[in-house]
Amino acid sequence: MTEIIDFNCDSGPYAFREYPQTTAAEVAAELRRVGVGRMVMGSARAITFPSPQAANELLAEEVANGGPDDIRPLLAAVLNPEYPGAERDLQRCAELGFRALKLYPTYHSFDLTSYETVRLADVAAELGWPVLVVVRVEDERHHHPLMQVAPLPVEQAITFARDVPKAQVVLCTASAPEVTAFLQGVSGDQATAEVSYIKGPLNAIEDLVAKVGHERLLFGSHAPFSYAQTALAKVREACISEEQKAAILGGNGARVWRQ
Amino acid sequence: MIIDFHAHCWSRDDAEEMMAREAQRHGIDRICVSGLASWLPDLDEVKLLNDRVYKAARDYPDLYLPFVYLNPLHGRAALDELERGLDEGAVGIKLWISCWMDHPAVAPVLERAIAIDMVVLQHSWHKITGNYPGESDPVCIAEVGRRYPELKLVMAHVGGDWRYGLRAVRDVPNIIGDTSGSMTDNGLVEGWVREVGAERLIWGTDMPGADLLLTLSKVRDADLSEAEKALVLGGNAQRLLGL
Repeated sequence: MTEIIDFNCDSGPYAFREYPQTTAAEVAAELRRVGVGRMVMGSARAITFPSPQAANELLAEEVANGGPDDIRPLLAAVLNPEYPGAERDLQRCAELGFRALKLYPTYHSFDLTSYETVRLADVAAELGWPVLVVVRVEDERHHHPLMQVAPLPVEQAITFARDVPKAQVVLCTASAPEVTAFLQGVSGDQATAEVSYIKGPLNAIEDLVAKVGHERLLFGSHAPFSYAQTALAKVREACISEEQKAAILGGNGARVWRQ
Repeated sequence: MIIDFHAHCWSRDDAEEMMAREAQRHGIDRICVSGLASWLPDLDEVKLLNDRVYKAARDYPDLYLPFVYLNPLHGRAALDELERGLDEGAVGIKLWISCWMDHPAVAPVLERAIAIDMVVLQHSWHKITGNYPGESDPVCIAEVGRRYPELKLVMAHVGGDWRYGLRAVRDVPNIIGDTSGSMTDNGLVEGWVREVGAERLIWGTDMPGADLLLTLSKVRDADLSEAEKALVLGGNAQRLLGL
């Protein structure tokens, strides 16, 4: 049986809403409850910290001291490549055990195609880290009025992936049209997308697989923002082959997960 | 019995066939369907949309429960279209975004709905990005619910932002939220049931625009008792529709 790998989850309080799970242990336990074996976990705090490294440090400390007991998340370092010292922060995260880079270009307001971003992604790639590029955190219609953040234009993600050919780029929290455009815009196994924000149309996963194939789709829950069990159900019960389900839920992820 | 309270015959020619196939696959017993197209449809368009829905109900009599879609701004003609719907077997009224629900033109439709004890399904969303011109905010739905306490009123999509929607209608007992649409916010179903009870939440998909599995799972796999799930997935719809 394929181990399910979740490429998009977070822990820690989020600035604008409360969720049923907050701590790394709570998020990990919920994911384990629904059947997830491994997870790439970032810090929800970091999304709204101008300097996200402080939040990365808090997450590392939390996981090291009383974090999830039976499941060790693979930590994703949330960084702003254009913030002073970002490369030093990445090295520090490597020392702390982080094994992926997670970028929120529209939340931290940096250019995904800038020299600094490409440079940081190249360093991550040299470490063997996947680079997670987040399109959105919440439905744009429900943002806090003081922080209305547009989704990342998928063209930027395409340019970025082409600029960092050695990096494994994982598009996160993208809609079906965005995932389709991204995977059609970047050829090869270097580009993948997780499916947490695939919400329609009817037979959404089947429809997406028909358009872009199953080989470059990964499982993502977007927990704790979204229901983990719902993310799983739409793949597990989709009208696609068992082989395709296994690939999306974990097989493809195991290839990306180079640790 | 599992009843999808919110689906549409639209966006693709084979929507009826496709939804029927998926309903069979996933154990859905009945689907409430209505038509939708332009934001401000003229009367001919409304009739065309409703005709498609009535045909679906004739083609799949054991599956589809037709709702008559109305643009209340059509005045007398909207009421005539409602009567035509009753003749065609409509079991509910669907209102979308042609005007806010508290617009004076809607009142005759609501009064007729009360007179014939028919449920009204009203689209609603609270968007920080700004609503469409005639798109009802949950606060508006709450006002209408208070004005007509006898009205059987379902607020679609739990108001979009469910926390806002819940606060708006919490104290209006004749308003039930429907879970249809793309929202997968962790805690939505449990939060709603905890605050106002399982009797005031009803399952819907918004097919074919939304994925059935996604919408079904958020109730079926929620942290609720089996009795609560049974109410949300079908019991409340049976009660509202008199099935």
